[in-house]
Amino acid sequence: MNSTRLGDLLVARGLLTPAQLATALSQQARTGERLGRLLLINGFVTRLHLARTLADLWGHPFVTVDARVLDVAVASRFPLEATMGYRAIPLRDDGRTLTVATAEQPGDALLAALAVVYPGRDIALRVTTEWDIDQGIALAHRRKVVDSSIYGLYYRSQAESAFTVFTLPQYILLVLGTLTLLAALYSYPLQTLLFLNIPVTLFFLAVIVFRTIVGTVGADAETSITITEEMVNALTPAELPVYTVLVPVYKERAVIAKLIASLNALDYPADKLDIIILFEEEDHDTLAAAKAAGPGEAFRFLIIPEGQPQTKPKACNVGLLFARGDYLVIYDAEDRPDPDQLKKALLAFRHGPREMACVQAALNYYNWNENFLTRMFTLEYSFWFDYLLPGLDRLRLPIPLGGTSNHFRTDILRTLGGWDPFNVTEDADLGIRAAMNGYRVGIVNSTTYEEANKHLGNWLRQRSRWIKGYMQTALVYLRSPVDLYRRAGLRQTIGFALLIGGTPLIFLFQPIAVGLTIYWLLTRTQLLAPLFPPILLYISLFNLLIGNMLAIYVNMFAVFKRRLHGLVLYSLLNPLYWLLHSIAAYKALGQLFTRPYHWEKTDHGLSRHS
Amino acid sequence: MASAVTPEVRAPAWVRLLLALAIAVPLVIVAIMMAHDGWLSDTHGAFLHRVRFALDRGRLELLGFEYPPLPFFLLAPWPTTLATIVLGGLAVAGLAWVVIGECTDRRSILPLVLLTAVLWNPIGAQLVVSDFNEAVGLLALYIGWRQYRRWWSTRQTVYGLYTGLWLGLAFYTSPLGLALALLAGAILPVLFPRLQIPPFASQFVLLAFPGVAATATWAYLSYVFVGRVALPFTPWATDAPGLLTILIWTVPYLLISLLALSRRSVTTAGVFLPLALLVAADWIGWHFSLAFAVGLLTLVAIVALPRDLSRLTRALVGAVALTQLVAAWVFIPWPTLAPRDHAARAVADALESAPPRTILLDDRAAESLLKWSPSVAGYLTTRDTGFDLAVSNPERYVRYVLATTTPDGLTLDADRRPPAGFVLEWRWAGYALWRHPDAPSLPVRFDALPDPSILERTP
Repeated sequence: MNSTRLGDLLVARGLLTPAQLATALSQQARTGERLGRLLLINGFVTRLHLARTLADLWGHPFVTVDARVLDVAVASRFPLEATMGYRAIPLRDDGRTLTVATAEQPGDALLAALAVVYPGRDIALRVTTEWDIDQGIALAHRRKVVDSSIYGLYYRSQAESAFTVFTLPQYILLVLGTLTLLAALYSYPLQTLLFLNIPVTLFFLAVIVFRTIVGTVGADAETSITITEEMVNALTPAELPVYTVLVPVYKERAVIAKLIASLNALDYPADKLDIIILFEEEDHDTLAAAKAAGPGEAFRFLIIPEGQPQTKPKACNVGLLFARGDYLVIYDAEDRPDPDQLKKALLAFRHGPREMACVQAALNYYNWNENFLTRMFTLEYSFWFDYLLPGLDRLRLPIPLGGTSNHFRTDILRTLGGWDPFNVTEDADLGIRAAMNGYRVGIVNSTTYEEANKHLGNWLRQRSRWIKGYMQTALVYLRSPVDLYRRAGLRQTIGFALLIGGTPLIFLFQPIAVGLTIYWLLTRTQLLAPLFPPILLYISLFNLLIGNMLAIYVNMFAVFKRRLHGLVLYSLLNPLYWLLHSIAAYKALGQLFTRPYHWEKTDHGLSRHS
Repeated sequence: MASAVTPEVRAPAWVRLLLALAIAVPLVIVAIMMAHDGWLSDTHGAFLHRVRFALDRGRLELLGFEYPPLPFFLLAPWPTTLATIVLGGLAVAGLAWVVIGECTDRRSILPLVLLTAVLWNPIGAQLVVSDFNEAVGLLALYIGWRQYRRWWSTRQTVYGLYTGLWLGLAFYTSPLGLALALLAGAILPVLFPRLQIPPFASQFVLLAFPGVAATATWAYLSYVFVGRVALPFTPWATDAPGLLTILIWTVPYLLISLLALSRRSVTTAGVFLPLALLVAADWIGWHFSLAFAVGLLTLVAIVALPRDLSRLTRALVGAVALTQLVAAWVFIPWPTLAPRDHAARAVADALESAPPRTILLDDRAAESLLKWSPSVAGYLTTRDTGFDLAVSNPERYVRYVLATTTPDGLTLDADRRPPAGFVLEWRWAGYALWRHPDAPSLPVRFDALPDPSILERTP
């Protein structure tokens, strides 16, 4: 198609001014983007007018795709991948003529593909909008979209899916272990408790040493800035690829307008942005609020077909199916990313190794000083994203992705099978899966600000989901530790075990350790002495005193680095905060057996800063 | 740090290592020769016998909670005189390694000359020969101070983290670690006149936290093990050199301080803070040796050395340092063993052959003897659970009673009312060995003593 002809025609019809056309053509010269998209992004023409004009140019009638014109049986015969690739969908077939709607200029390749599925038909072409094609896909391929978004990973690799919570050997091990333990406790209570105390104490020690080393190495990452402002400023629009932004939302009416404003503030050419907001089918309120917020043409709204489990990763998988970008990022509804984050992530990919599948931006909170919980949450995130993850990155250890601001190479993400909808920390799982498949996950020096939970109940729901997800991920990859070791190597396996396996275990054991300490302090009883022979006692004391001290100290620096000076002393309260984690951990453990896929929804928009 | 105008040039690691070892090895050789001649400082002896007690009884708490514990932990894997020397040598080599880095940064050999001049003499050698703990403390303090300077020059928080960790480590060798951290925190507003309260307060907390937390940790441990709160502030040194003595042996430091002050920078005034710290520490009772004081102030001088000194001035400073080196050789004697040490060693060797827990001893008054004991297995002491029982009825529980003369120990009873059923073997310098008639004698090698009459053999 000739851009000038399209532009001239639009001007001739009074749908576009000559000045607007000149602006768009100038942009096209800089970016190489198609004129039609530039006109849409700039808001110079409507999607409908553009499609109708294109229909006239291409010499085919215009059609609006809906249930009245689309025969689901006909349309669903054309493979979903082909429908997506050609942006064309068959509407009706009377045995001789096949009516097909397309949003792209039809070519021989499309006709050939149609001839394979519908042989001997004459093709009657119709022109429609991109949105109509998506609508047609939703109607015709609903079952397939739902299936692939839920079971895609499971069909591709059962071993990597959390659909099966416990495998048979794991069940047997669990039952036998429990029975043996109970029998031993009955027969030899003291010896059994001592025997249990040894691995627990050593495990605590290993986790403390591991986290201190990783945290300190991560702190040192400050000395080497990865992506500078100069590098960002040197990027030209023409070299920027299309970037998909996926935002799954559910009952986010309160924050959706601010989300759209934050995404509009991204420093990235709108014509290279493919922002997809993913709505659950039942969530009419959020959809209505989003429409009312007046998003630009860079936005697409996708309705996620209903189907269990109704989780964020399932929505993301649907989004991945429709993503047009070479790169893709996930944001949550309440996110406020640094405006230049996409560019920084892009540069991180370019400067990273070829096997870099994902880069994670730091997360932090804009409502850090709202109450005790938000302060402690900010302390935790500052350590996690500013020290721990960079440390893991430097030490080449597997990085569990944080909930949002994960930037992917779209093709690699598809190769990996997308997100696991049965894993309630699908992000952490995906980071580990990438590492286990030989890909790298990196860190980029950019921050997304989120809303910290300020209500304890809300916090417990969110935290229990995270811990349950870690448990699921650990169970998935420890189904065959030997295979894990073979695929990932010793260092990665140990890193995985201590971080993903260790985090829930530490929180589960912690109340017992604290309880014993308090009991001893109050009573100075000798009853516990047999459980703590000298060496074990010294290690326990090291864990209690030095371990806590180091964790608190490194945490102090993490918030100091963020210039959150008021939080430095709050770090001393971390042991109390960790006890809250333990409550969440026991809740998570219960749910692992009763409701493994249940997604504990976190309410957003509660902060006064929202 | 490299200067802004000159690229950073670092000597290859192996060159730095060789140079650092070249500084440390002569001191190690001297220390080994002295140990071969029988020298063991009271401080090293105290470290060793405490570690041996803890290891022999399998209870780390026997190390005690009144002293900074790092030397114990360092010696635990290898509690020998040679280990103290090796550790001292490594600490000195570490100091030299860091100072060599300073030399390459400044493109001047002067820092290394200053360090060598202060180490290669009877004063500096004490850091290896007599108290490796002070050498380790100096190393930690020096690195901590350098990291601190890097922190406020680059504003990168990771250097603050390193500062705190190194000063925290220094605290485990000496309470001066905590003092220096507090000092470093307190002078922040001097370094940053426009520093506001929140960042100042948080930086102060960050610097002080490791030392304070370590103090609290140790206090808690003492409460757990001995039921009372003890703080590790007791210094190993029994006294400290006077201010005049310190100044006499730190002329290069004084000279460099004056040169630094002549630059009229407010931050250079900090060069006198460590001196004030030493004076205050001594006043509080946190004693230190002359070697520590001279070493600390020399390191401060190295850091404060102005970068724009003329060649002549640098030569002058170097000459002063070398003069001081020579003066130390002339005026400071090498330590030698006292006659009582010879006797104590002979006695300790003799008692070594006693079966486990058969010698009743009040260890609180027997430091000079225990220092020489290759093993503490034979002793039943106040640190053992059966001690009180054995005191009440020695004949039943032990074969020997080694009495001492302090008024509050076991000795008083043993001296005035000899343990029933025991016979006196010998007396020496307040000690008296009582033997059960059924137990064999523990023969002392009187021939090894310079003056055998020091030990009074009883018939």
